[in-house]
Amino acid sequence: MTLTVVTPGTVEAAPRFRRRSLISRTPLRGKVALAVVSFLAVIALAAPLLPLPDPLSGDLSSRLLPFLSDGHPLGTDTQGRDMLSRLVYGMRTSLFAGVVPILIATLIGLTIGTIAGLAGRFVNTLLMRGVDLLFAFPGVLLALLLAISMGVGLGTLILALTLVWVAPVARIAETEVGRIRELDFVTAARSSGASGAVILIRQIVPVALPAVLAYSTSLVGANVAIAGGLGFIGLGVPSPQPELGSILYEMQSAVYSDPSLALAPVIVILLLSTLFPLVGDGLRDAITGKGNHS
Amino acid sequence: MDYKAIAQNRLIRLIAGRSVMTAVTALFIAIVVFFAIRSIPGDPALTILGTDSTPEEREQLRIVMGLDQPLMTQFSVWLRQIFKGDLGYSYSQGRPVTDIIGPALESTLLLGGAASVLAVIIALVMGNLATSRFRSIRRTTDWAEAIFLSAPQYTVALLFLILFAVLLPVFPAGGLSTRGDGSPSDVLSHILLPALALALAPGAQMARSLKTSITTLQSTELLPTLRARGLSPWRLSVHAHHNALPPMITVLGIQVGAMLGGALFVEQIFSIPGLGALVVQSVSLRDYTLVQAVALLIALIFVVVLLLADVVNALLDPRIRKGRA
Repeated sequence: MTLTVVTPGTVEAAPRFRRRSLISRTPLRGKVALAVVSFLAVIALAAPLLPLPDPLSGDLSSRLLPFLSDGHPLGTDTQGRDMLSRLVYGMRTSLFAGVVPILIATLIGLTIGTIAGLAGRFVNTLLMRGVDLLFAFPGVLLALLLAISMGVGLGTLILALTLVWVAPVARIAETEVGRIRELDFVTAARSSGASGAVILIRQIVPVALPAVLAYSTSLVGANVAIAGGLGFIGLGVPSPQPELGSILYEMQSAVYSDPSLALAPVIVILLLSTLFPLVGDGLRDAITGKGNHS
Repeated sequence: MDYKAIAQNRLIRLIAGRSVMTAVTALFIAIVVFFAIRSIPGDPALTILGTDSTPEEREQLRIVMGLDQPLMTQFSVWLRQIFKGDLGYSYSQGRPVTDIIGPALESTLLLGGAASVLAVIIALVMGNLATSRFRSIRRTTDWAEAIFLSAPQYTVALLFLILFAVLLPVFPAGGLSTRGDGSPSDVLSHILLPALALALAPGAQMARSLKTSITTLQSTELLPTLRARGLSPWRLSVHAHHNALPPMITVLGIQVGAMLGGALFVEQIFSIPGLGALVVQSVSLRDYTLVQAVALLIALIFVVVLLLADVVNALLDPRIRKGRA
């Protein structure tokens, strides 16, 4: 039996060293989701190396071929292009439009949230009320307005989606930083004379970052969904570049004649949108220690 | 009248404070919507008149539309017209925007109302299953909740459309009625699939909040005490749900935003002539007066719903309702 002696002055150290890696502490569901996401990401990245037909050229005489046709395992679309190839290349675009805005928004949101969390009451109120204002828009509507105001294109789509996600990340970051700065180890560092910058970089950011990143990972799912939605109404990446939303739009006209063919892009978007939140939730549970129980 | 008592009434103060915030938010929304639409690349006059118009004709139209004025003047003119109930003229439909919006608003409110009712039902069922005594039920509910929360509404809508209207034609595939006589069963069968597609995420989110409330309550002595006093299981359950209500209303208010956003696609998929479908159609027709008006209306509905959720919550709280300062 070991005795743990807790003296009155003992404080929790900033958890810099972890016994087990974050992924090993993630609950099974998160691990499975992470494995599937990684698999899909690898396929999307390696698309040019895979033996796939050209996603852009099709033979109009072989349009809307059913599943498991010769050379077209997932059939062909309304213009006779190979569906599997279009989905793989579409996933490439959609993952890019899904991940990049979240990365940029995380950087901006984290900065805003950290400043708001550390600043005095006036700056905090100013920044967070600004963030609140952005929440007044349904995300899809804001993305739509920004997308049409800047013109259609991959670059403007990325910019519009980034602006949508800054506010949610900033809010989470502010909550995290505000919580952490009241914790004992920060007080200890402050009372031992550490400068503000050192406390921020060595004590607060390392603790806040994983939680914010877990949240951002979840957001990728919602972002893929919005990007796909904009593609679905013709405001996404301009054709002919395949993108999951625009594939869905093209296949919508085939819903009644070939319903099962239209299912494939629906399922890919559904998969991507639900997997990222599962990974994010798993990471969050691993960070908060909730995953240790199951 | 006792003005001092009114000023001290917590309920009135709360509503007044929230209303001011709502007004500020509404102004911000108007600014964003206006400037987003005005910064769209391209000449609106060219879009409306087409490429075979002369430069003089286009200049004429620009003056008629007020586009030659400075932006701030245009904004204040636009805002003043809105307060007068004039939302502009839709060139693609050849009618004033207010005439178009009325029926569309009705359809969207019907869809949103149905979706909210379904969401509450889903939340009550899932929230209680999630606190079930059986581990397997809890885990299954947990999975369903995770998927419901993040499945994009348009994929769910397309899935429902393909599965239950095309492959297994049990439900009509689009529109709001077939017979056109507005009989409840007819409308209900049309609205069920799209409303369900919109209700999954809000339902799961509310279920999560209900689950938290019930789990918190289970760790207290309240339920055993009430049981000891001889209350029936039904009354116990009512007590357990009573405290869960305010956070669920807040969640539903926030989720109305997601529903309105999702309606953009879901209405399009199920051919429901609502506000969402109107936005999408007017975007593709480049009728930006109409986009501007409908986007503004959708965002305003959301802000008003958030305000209502706050007020209802305040009314449910006996400390605030009784007006003690």
